[in-house]
Amino acid sequence: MFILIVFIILLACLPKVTNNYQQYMINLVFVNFLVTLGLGIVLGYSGQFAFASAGFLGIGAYCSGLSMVHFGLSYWLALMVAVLVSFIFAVLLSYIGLRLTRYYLSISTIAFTLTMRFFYTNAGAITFGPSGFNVPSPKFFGFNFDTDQRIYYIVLVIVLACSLFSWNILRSKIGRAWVAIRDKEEAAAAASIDVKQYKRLAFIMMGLLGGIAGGLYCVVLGRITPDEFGMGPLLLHFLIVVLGGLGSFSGLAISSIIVTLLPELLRAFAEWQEILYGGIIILMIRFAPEGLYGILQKISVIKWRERMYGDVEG
Amino acid sequence: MLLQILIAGFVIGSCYSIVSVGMTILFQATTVLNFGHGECVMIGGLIFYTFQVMLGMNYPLAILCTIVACMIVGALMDRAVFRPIVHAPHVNVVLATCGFLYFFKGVARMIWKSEPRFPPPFIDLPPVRLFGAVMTSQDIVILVSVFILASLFIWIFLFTETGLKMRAAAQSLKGASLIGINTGKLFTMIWGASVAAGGMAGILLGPIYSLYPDMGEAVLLRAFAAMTLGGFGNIGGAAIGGIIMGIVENLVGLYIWTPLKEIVAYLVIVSVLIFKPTGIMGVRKF
Repeated sequence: MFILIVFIILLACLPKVTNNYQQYMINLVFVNFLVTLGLGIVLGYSGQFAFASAGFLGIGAYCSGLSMVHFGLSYWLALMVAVLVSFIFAVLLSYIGLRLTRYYLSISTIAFTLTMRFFYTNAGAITFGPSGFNVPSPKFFGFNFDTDQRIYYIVLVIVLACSLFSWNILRSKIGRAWVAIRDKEEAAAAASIDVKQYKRLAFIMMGLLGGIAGGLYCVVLGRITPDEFGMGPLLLHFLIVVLGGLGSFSGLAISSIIVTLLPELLRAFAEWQEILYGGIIILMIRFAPEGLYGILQKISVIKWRERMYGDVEG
Repeated sequence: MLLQILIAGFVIGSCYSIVSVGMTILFQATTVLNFGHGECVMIGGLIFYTFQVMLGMNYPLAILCTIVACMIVGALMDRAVFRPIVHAPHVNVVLATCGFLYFFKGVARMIWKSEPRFPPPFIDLPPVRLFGAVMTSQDIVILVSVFILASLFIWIFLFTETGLKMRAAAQSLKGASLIGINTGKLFTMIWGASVAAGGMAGILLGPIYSLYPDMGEAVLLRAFAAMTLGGFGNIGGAAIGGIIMGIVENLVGLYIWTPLKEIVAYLVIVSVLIFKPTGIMGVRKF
């Protein structure tokens, strides 16, 4: 607990030492963490092939951005709208999704993502078409969140709250039910777990986290275009989830840092990016399916802690 | 005009059907749905382009080399990645195929750059006129070769011992190994054949559709739509579904709204899944 508080205080002090660009990258890390948390829950915990993270990210970003631009709502109300709309979409999609299994589900969720992208590109009157639009900076009682450092605090508070929320859910009855469904659906049903209800819950969880992340994403970027929500970002999300380890919380945090900052470190090899990302996904699945978290466990950093404190994590 | 559109749809649809047949045989035997298959189509087409245009081989030799190269790629994919994780959870396998999707795209961008390439058509005869519609010689070549290839695959799958083994392996991997089927060898063969089918589709699509690194997703989703339409995992259904898909796409593009062509595939997928999940020829298994 003490370590956690120190950690949060350190995070809160971060903007004092960063310049704008570094801060922007750090904001992106947080947003990526939040959106892949949703994807990780649905893939790793409940074991459903729902590849809709980029779709919900887009819904969140466009809803909050557009309701600010068109209706002049304040950012906080716009964020509420984004959450509400992504909730509605998640519920609707879950009604289709629950009738489908495995590949059908993955195909229809990819179809969902690309259809939304098509809508953003072609409904120019509402969404400003392929060139996108600028998002006004959020205000809070006259305080203008206009720099990356200031936006960081919004991002930090919301992401921490959402992670705490999901962390608790994963350790509750719901999280255990998801794991049971992933491991053996029939057995879970026999243990009187309402499979449909919990699957729907996982879907909604992904939708909500994606929607909130989208709401943050639009102010972090400052300008959104349809290309932010197609197959490319989906690759990024896959990579983060696979690298972190399917269904591991701390692994996800580590890998969202690595993956978001990787293009910076490898700027000289920009054209190698797709090969590298695809290659990492393949290699991780082949050699280390538990991801970075599993590797860490193997090289016994965590084992050491267990020996010292008799502590068990996750 | 209508006839012309129908012919164009039929031609492009038969290319989709060879793509979806390639995916279906893989799916039927190994229960892996290859999300990278669209990229295999592109890579196949580009390898052919390299052999034919850049190295100046003659047409049949280039086709042969392309097929061999594609088979090697497919066999390598299986040996290096998919065989070791054959017992892993399905999520992992699917994510690995997604990894190949981006890997191949990156490779293509690296080697062949981003601009669209047009391999030359097989024969260059004057186009045939048919009730006021025009059919180029490449269209006829596509129709004939797709017909031959699809019948070949369907014959192998339904009427030979290899096909029987494939169906057995799909039903139960353990059971198939127990009765003495060498599933490892079988799967490697099927991966090779599947990627080679993709490569053939690339060769045929090239002259009319152009080859570029980002084409994979479009082809992949149309092939998905074809598979769903024909009943998932039904090889004959996949072939027919592809043709229907091509025709529907072109009709929508002509009569409703041209940009809609891009998402017709998704609309088809979703409406098939809602109204008739078994497709036109499928039996619901899972």
